[in-house]
Amino acid sequence: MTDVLAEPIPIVIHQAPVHRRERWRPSRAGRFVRMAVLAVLAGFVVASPHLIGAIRINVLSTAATSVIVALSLNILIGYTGQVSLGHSAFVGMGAFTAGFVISTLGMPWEAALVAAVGVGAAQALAIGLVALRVRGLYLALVTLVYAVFAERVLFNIEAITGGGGGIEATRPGWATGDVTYAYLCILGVAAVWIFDWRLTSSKAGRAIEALRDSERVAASWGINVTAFKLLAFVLSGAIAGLGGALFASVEQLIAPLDFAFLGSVTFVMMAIFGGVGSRPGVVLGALVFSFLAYGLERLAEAFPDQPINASATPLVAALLVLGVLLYFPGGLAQLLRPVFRWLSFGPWKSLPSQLVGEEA
Amino acid sequence: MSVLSVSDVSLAFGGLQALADVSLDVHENEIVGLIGPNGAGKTTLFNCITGFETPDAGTITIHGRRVTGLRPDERTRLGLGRTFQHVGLVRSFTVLENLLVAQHRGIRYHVGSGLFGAPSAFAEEEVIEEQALHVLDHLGLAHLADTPLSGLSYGTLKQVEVAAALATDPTILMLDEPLAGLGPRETAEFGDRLLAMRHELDLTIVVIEHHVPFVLRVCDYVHVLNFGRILATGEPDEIRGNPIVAEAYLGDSAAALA
Repeated sequence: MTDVLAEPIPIVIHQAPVHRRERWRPSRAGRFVRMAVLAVLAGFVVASPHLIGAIRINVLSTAATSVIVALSLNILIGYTGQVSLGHSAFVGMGAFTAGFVISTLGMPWEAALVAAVGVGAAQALAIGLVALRVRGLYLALVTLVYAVFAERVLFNIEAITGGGGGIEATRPGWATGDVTYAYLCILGVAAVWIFDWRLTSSKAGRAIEALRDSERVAASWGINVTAFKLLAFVLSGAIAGLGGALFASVEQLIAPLDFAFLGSVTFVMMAIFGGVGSRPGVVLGALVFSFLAYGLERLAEAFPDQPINASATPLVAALLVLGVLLYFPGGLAQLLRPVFRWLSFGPWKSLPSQLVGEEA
Repeated sequence: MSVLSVSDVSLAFGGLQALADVSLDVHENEIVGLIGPNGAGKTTLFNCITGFETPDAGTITIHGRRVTGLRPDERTRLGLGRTFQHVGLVRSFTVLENLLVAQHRGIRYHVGSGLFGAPSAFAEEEVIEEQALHVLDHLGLAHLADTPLSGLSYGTLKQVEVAAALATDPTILMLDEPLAGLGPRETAEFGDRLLAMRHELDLTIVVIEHHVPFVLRVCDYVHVLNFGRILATGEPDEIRGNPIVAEAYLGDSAAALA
């Protein structure tokens, strides 16, 4: 203790000669293989509307809209750490806005899309204002109540939603075909993916993720906690609204029952099963859930003498979630972490030096 | 000119008088120490200054501006940077990512430019990363840039926290027990860095620390708090010889120091 006091201290800054560890980079061959695999994946996605067959193509379009909604929910669960059980309503608001603008106002589909995004953002802003006061379990309850309220009341206002019979939402003139529309939905997923990537790698996303961990620390770094929390809700709502508008024109007819509040739980399951906070994980989670019934149907067709039935979808879904979460609390993203890391031009195994590091 | 001025600040939690008529002035480029037993009100005073607590009475000015009613993030914009008693970092981020968020207020591009991928945002992101590495280098932490926080010791985390506070580009740096978890050698090194940094980075520093020899060594001025009151104020030599301080805080070891 006292030796510190003994000598007058020379004022010298310790310019540490150590510099940042070199980032791991794949070899040229490694880069080529990764690019090839990514190209095959992209090719598969591009070909998917043709691979799935004309009868079930709308399953694909619907799956794409679910991916969009799951990504929007991921902004709340994954980035802000707040669970929303209101996403069926978020989506429904977007869908009915689109239907209203197209059928009742007679305006073009593009206008409906913009309106759906706007209304989606506005309702989420209102929920976000509540989220400033309550959080965690209580916020989950508030959003659940909103979902039920929307399903039973809002979506049954006949003048706007057409009531129980529903409302039409015709596709844009340039995408009336099922295949074309499927491509439009896939394009929507790509746009949301890029937007989400920009969010997480720019200051808004970093600020939002920082306040998930600690609002006090975030504030001490000059982050306006209120503004960025609301921004997270607004972005989530806007993207959910987009998903809703795209969903509305898949079957071109929507009814309140399409947005039953239990749908919210499915969206949450998609995100958690895929791995909250992980973009590719959440996308995969949403795809697995979206194609579960389809997959079971195809299995039943392939093995007619086996007791396989698409009505078992909820049971299989539950078993899948249980099975994965029991061993991988981080969902598919945790299970597939080496794959995701490898595909993003990283090493297959995590570098041990990154974990030790400290004494280096 | 005093860059930070606290006058007659009081705050009670229920029946507990956490702060009672606390006044102190911090001048430019000073290093000021706050010492006192646990529960003396040091961290509460920090919280009042940085806006996490609202005093019942009294005024606080930063660079001559009254900050009553300003949120913590607004005070950060006035040039206040702080660390927390328990590590205040984003646990799920790497060291570098923490410093990127910490630079939030210095980032000029608009939130929308970032979201829609404007070229200016990409360009500035590179600058921000450079700056983060520069700050880390200042504290001898650059080699840990890509390390997740989970792999670091408590002492290192506290140092990363100081780096993050520096990354907010403060004029007044407030450190709450920065030495926790550090050994004697690192403690001495950190003292050197602090003394050098205040000139290189033109900083005014307020530091809460239990390590009295460190405080007496680096601080120009020391305030001793006890039961929410300023018990004594003075230069390290005066504090070292002050019998009231010795009795209230330093105990028997005071004899050795005096």
